[in-house]
Amino acid sequence: MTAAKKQKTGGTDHPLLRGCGHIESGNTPDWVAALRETATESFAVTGLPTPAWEDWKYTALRALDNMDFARDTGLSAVPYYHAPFALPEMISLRILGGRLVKNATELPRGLEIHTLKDVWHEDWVAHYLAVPGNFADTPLEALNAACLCDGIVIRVAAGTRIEAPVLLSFLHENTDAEETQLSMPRILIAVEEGAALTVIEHHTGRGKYFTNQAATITVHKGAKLGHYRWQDEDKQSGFHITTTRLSCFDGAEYDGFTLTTGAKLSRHEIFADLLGEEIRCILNGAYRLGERQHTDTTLKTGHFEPRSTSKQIYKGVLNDQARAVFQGKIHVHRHAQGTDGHQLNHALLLSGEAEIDAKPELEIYADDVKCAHGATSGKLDDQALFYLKSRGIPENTAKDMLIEAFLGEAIEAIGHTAVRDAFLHLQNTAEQEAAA
Amino acid sequence: MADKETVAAVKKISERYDAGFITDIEMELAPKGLSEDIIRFISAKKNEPEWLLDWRLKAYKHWQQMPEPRWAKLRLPDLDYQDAYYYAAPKSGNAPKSLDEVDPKLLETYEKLGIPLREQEILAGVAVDAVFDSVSVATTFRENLKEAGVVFCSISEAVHDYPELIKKYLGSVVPMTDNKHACLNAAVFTDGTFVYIPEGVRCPMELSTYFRINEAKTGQFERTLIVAEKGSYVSYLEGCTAPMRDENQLHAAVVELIAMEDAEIKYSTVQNWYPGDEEGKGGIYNFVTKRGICKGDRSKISWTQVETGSAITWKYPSCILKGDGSVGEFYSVAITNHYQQADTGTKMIHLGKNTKSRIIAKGISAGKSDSTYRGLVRISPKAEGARNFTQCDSLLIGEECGAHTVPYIENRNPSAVIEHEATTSRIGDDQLFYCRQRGIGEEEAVALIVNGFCRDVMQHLPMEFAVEAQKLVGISLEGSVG
Amino acid sequence: MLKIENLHATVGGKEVLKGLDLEVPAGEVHAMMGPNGSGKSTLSYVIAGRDGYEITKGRILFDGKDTAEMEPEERAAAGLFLAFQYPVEIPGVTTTNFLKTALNAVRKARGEKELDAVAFLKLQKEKTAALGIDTLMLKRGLNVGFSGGEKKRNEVLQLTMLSPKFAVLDETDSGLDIDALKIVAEGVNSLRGADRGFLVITHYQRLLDYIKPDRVHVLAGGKIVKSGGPELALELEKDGYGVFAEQNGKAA
Repeated sequence: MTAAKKQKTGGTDHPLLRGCGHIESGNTPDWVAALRETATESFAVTGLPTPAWEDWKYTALRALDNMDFARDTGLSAVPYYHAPFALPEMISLRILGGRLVKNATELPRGLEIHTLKDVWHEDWVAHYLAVPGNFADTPLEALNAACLCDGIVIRVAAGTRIEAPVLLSFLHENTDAEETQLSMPRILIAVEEGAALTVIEHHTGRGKYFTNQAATITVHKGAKLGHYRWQDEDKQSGFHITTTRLSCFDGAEYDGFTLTTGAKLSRHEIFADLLGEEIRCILNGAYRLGERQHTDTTLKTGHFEPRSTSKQIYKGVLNDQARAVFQGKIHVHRHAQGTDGHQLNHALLLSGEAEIDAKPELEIYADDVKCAHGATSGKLDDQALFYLKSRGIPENTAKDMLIEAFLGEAIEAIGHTAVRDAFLHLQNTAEQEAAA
Repeated sequence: MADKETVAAVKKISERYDAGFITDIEMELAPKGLSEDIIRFISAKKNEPEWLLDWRLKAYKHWQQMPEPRWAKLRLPDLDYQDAYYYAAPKSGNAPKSLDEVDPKLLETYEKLGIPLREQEILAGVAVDAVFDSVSVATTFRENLKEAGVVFCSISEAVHDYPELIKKYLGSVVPMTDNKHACLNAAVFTDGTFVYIPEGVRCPMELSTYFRINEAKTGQFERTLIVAEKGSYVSYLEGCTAPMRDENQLHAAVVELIAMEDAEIKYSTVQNWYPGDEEGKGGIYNFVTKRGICKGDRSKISWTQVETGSAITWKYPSCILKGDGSVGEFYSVAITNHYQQADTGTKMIHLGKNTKSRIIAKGISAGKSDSTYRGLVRISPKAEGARNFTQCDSLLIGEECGAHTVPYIENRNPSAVIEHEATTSRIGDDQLFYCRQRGIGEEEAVALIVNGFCRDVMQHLPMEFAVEAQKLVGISLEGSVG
Repeated sequence: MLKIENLHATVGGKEVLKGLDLEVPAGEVHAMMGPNGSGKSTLSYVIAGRDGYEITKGRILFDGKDTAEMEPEERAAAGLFLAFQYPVEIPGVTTTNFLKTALNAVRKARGEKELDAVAFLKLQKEKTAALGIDTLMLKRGLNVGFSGGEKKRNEVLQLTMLSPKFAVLDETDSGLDIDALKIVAEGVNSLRGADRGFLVITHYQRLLDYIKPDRVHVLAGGKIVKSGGPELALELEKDGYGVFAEQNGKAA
């Protein structure tokens, strides 16, 4: 990257920084001010990443270059929204413009949910978020931090197992304005020792907007987190990027799944650090895209201690001119003997103009490990299709059935039964919509 | 049979790197360093036509602007291009007409390396082009090959004898500006091998080039060009060694293969450049650009490599599958020990319909070394019915080494089927114990198990090379266990 | 030929053998029987010198020589063979290649001339035919994808090829049907002779119908609790290991 290019995309007057508008500085803790400053400086130097960056080889953010931005104030009403599913005891929360909409729901004992501003003076929040990060390789995370002014904080007290799933609905409505609305949700989830929680994210909206989320998730010793996301942003004009930093400690279980059907362009980048022994970390997902949609999944799992297991299974179906990117890396550090790492990416291309780019990586520095990855890419099985048709099933229905079965395999691995059934149902609905 | 010999050979060899001797012979050296003048000197020395000198100078100009490729997973030193000789030739003459004119010291060198140029001519039925530092010193079997219409000569001779072919194909697969190392080669290449197989000819014997770096502070920049016309076949072997020296030496070669309709080129390499000592001192920097184009329909290019040497290996023999139904193959074993680093793999670019590629890569890391497989499979929108199968397996020996797999898979055609698999493992304690219980010593057992691990690749080597390669596996892993 | 004196051995810090005495003279076949977990397999590994199986007291003499300092391959060269209960898979290494490497390593260590390819293949063909082994099996990776029966037959093939002075057969009968069992037994019986000894480790009496032992020992709780003639095996068949369970329990 040349200096000239940097100048063009970077600088403190970058449209994205400007788009965030004035950020209140009164009554913010020192760590917030410091973080904003570091992040702003970093973003000013790097600007948005380009395909010349190895990690962004297959995803270009050129579309963002010529946009005008305005901060999503979170004031627009989103009248049409209904939660995509109702699970028993579900705690349903709305996030508008990156801000939690307060409601009177009574929370189970041991579970706290706050808007970040209310708690950012507390030490434990700073402990998780006031990390002097190095943003050089993650400009989008820098951008989020540079504009940090609020967020959502969820914590489960040690030993508490919360049965009620928490649904976070991130909503956008911007069908009229010229500018692209910017929202920068900041999420903190801390599951303390021996606690358990299920969180579901639903990202959806209409119109022109760009969600740039950053999440910090910590699953402490023996704790369990089920974390399921449906990225269902506007297919024509929604942009969605999430950078997740996940830390797991001894015996923790993280069961993650992302279903991607929305957004013109999306990217989910996860840094999963397995910092203890006997951790089980699952980062699975499925995507189904059409038109000119683009999705990018970039996973980096680091095994730092012995005997942990990580699994990454992604399956996807691409139609029209859609494009999917899968970059998965399992990094086994010297000390992490007995690691079991597994990674699979399967893609179906339904159209001659669709594209899949996969880069499944292994980086291994310990000799007593079991690591494997696989990637396949192809079309629907002609024979299976013929078989279904020979039984009288119309071609389109037969295709849908096969696609459903293909993606279903990934979704069925979701650890939470009710969520799994809901996601299976979602996938089917998404298909019918697509067909209609 | 090979394996008995392997084990016996491993036992016999007391020195870790037995190609590490220096030949004491009078050399002609160009002044140290790199400049336009040096390039003019090389060109004049070889009595080259004007167009080739211009080509070299153009490359040199471009090279000066180019950045070093830094994307590989290698700890790369800063190279001082001015602290090396770009031309070194034995004084005893440039192009001997027959083996009788070759300096006996050179013949002795090759004999010591197990490439007896004389006996070879009588016994093994393999034609050899021996490249010593910058120049080709001997090419055997030329007359027999000529009868079949096969051209097998040094590239310097080819420039004079087959100017049209050279002009047409030189730089046609690896453009001069492809990467910094290839560009340097274009500017300063001193010799190499040219092979031309006419239409319908099945080359009657294996062709091979044996590269030897002897002189200190000398870079070797050879160029190989193989053209296989319609319906022809050739199997080409390449071997390399260098003396043990404390300083690092640069080897930046370029290989270009062109396969026309129904032609097949099989290219095998056993790379045993000096890897440096146990502390990581010295060794060859092996920065090589190898690429073949399957130009015609149903043509086939097959790369097989066994990489045991060099301090650093940066090498990606690739196939451009342009002809419909053409086939590309890459079979690789890369072994690193002590402080060696290897970043190697392939690129399979599928352009034509029903093109097929197959990649089998086995990486073995021991000591404090790092081995990386880096490979690209690209299916273009027009490559209807393309198929790829990739299998990458890594074996780690000891706790201080690293093994990495970095595949890039790009598919833009729905009818293509791509499969990629990779695994990482180590030699099991139970496997070692089982072998030892049957009386096989520990180092032999390791060599045996590793050779088994590499079998899918080794079986693609021509017989003569397979034996050599299996021995090398044992030798390069010496001191990695126990 | 094989003499074990007051052998104590630990595996992963846990004592499994607790004062075992045994002597198998040349020319004899001894059977070692015992309940699961009594230390049978541990005994076989300790005799063969596997890493991690540590002798804490006592010694093992082979041909009058203490084996303590001998590497596994040195024991093999001295003529000690272990037929594994679970033969190990080595992908890419054919049985033929493995056998030839092993045979010549042993011959070399004994100062004998190595066999060339022709002589080796002749010998292998002979032994393979006698055991009813499909020659295709010899071209596959060692034990890779072999059935349980094929693996055991392969062990016996190696036994007959290497013709050691003393062989320990660790549950060679497990996983074999009756026909295979007979073939395996024939292979072993063909090697019986005045200058060769066997220790046959088994859980069931069945194998001993075909390989007649000279002596039978019962191993429980890490030591030999009873020895007798072939009739002891029949008694065990009838009464089971129940009576020895207590000793075994104490050991565990």
